Amino acid sequence: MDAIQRDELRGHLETLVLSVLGTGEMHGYEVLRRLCLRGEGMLEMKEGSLYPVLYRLEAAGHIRGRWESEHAVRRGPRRRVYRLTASGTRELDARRDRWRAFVRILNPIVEHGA
Amino acid sequence: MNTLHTFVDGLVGPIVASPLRKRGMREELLGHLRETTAEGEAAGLSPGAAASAAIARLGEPSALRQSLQDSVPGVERWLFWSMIARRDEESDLRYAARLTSFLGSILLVVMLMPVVAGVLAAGLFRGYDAAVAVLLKVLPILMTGFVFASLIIFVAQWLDLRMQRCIAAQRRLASVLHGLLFVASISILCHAMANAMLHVVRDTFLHGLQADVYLATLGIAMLCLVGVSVDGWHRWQRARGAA
Repeated sequence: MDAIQRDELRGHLETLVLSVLGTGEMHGYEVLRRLCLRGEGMLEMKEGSLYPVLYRLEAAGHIRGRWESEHAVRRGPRRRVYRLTASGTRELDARRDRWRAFVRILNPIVEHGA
Repeated sequence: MNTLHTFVDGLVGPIVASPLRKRGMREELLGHLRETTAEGEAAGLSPGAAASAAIARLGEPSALRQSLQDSVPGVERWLFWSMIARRDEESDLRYAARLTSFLGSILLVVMLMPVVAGVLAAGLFRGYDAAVAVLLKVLPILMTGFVFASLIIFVAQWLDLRMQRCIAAQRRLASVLHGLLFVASISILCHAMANAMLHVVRDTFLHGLQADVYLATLGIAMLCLVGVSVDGWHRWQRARGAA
């Protein structure tokens, strides 16, 4: 099977990020790593595209970021850890509902024709 | 790691946003690139190849820059575009003049605050005539000070821009010379501001604050000096790393 191109992912990336963050708080790199893992290597996306999505979701109040503690035992730049807010949880539920409806309606058409 | 620094600086530098937001973007992207580079090195790539691969995985720089720019809230973008961001092909002099108009308007507000306080206090406790008297005494000093301060700010801004160019070109002597002139102009400004503030507070009902005002102004001057030195040193190291 061919990899899922980034054009096909466009429009779903926010939902995917919200969904990953729904499992717990994590930093951007970890979000990406989990997306790749769950996508079984079939998600072809430019890694940089994650950060504008995170910033947009944060501006919308769906996620909240905080800089990792200065005392964290690691070298290098600080990492920003994101978590879902109450508004994000509601948004994720709404997006999941929309996704289910999307699949329910489109799937029979794609599978069996109109 | 200088490759990563240079790449991230080039990517985030032109984005129109607050310095705080840009710093956050820089730090986050740099952290990401470092983790990806470490991953590449662990897979057997040389440090240089791992860094290049990490940068390539991030995506096309101009498209990424545009996405990052789009993620900046509109109000912030407007504020920093119209006031602070450097436009394409803008000369140092023109840019310095525009920055001066922005900083000058902030300065005017800061300078007017004690006057407003003095006039309000005079008006409340002694009546309308006392308030007018305070205004007549203070406004000429304030306006002269404002014009003088704007001129110095303009010169300081222009020197700062020249210093940055010299640092980027690795011209050590010219960088230090421009830096010293910059610090001298800021010192003159702070001294003049402190004196003007002293006049203002002396002519109003804020006598008790004289020493505090002077100390606060000196404190700002010292902070400026330390800030310029640290920033200059930091830029110099970056320029050396990039060279």
